[in-house]
Amino acid sequence: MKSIRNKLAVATCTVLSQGAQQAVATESSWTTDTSYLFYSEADRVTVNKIITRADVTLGDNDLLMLEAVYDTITGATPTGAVKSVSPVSVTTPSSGGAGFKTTSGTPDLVDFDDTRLGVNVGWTHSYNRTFRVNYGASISVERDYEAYGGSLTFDKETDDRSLTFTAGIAGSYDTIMQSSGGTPEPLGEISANEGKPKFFEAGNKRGYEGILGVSRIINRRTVAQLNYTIGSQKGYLTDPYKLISSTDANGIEVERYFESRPDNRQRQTLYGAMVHRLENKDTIHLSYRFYWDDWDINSHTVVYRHRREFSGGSFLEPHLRIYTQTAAAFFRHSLEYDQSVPEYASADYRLDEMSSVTLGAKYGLPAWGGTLRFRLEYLYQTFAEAEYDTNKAVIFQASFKKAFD
Amino acid sequence: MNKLRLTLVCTLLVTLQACAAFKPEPVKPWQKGILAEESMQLEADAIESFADEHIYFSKEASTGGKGVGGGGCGCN
Repeated sequence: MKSIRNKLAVATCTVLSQGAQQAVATESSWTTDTSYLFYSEADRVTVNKIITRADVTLGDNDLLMLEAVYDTITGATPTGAVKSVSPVSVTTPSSGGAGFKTTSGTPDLVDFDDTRLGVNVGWTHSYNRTFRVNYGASISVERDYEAYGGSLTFDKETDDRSLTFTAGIAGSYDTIMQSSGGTPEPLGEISANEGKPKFFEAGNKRGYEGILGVSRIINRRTVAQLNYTIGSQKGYLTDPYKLISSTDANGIEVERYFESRPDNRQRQTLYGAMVHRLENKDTIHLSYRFYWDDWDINSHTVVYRHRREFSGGSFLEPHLRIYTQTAAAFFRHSLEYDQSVPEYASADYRLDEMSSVTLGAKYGLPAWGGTLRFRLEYLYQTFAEAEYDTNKAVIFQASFKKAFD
Repeated sequence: MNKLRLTLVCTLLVTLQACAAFKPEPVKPWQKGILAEESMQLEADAIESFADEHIYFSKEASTGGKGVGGGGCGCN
């Protein structure tokens, strides 16, 4: 009898002590994730990026997210001007700390370097078992670009938690300028013969965005999501560094202008995603996004990830991303010298009809009480009309995630 | 012709099997073990997703879809 009493006492103490530990764990726990990313284009841009993120659980109802990113960007980027040897001596734009500067003899490519510091914070509060609100704020600062944003997102679950409805809004306010200050006159001519182009004060851009979404547990192995977003941008949407050439019948540059874009853009997306656990215990992630805007850009994006777990907690995750887009209505490879200059024109390769394919894999393994992940990917882009008709890049990322009580 | 029929039947069987895997079924709280795993989350690797959004925002004309908010940049 005494033995049974002792065993019951021990069992009771064990249960109570576990309960106490769990109570402590729910008071505050941390998860940190730190990452280094290297992005390098063949003979063009190189980006080194450090991201660190902390998710802090405070009690049962609050979650804080803090995220900081620091980028250094160097290399050469296409300006939009044609490659042909130009009679025009260039008064080129400049960017970032050391600024844009022309690479000798090739005004179509400019060297630049820049740094960026960004901070995102989020607070999610659960008002009851099935309703929570996320408050978000962000700031990003470069020498020639500042961005401030805020967001508010509501999540409502059904009582059985099989469905989650999401509604959210966000606003942003960006300031854009060349690093030397100011923005050039849209379609202002850059020519030694015409004198310096006119410059105005820094440009401002306001953005508004809304989202309606639903995610659903389909069965024990499948979850799916569908989102609709709508956004509007107003203000200075031109890139103050991008150029466009006017050429003669032989494609030789005659004049060069700063680009000009409309001051309004309406965007919409439909996004669907699904995660499924296969019978062989592999996990597949599949998503599709249809994007359209009133600049006549439509795009399709398909992303597929296939994760296989190995014994010991390591995993391998091949990844394929396919993207296609149509060109903006005002995209031009170049202007014709003997034609009048349109109101809007850009030769920015990112507004051209394009296809992108990204192929790579991520490998993860347990290390130092957390998870270490490495991913290596190759990005290949082709453009229909842009002066530089391809872009090839290698992406490498190493990340370490760890939870603390 | 027989080969075509065989191919069609096989395709139909594979499609039916795939549809069965995604058949909706009620899930009780104690049956959510797999769904609770990190790899089953719709956003399984937030820091990777954040980095990707920056890369593709800088190299393509489309952006968004997963949510709202986040910082912009003047990336080239």
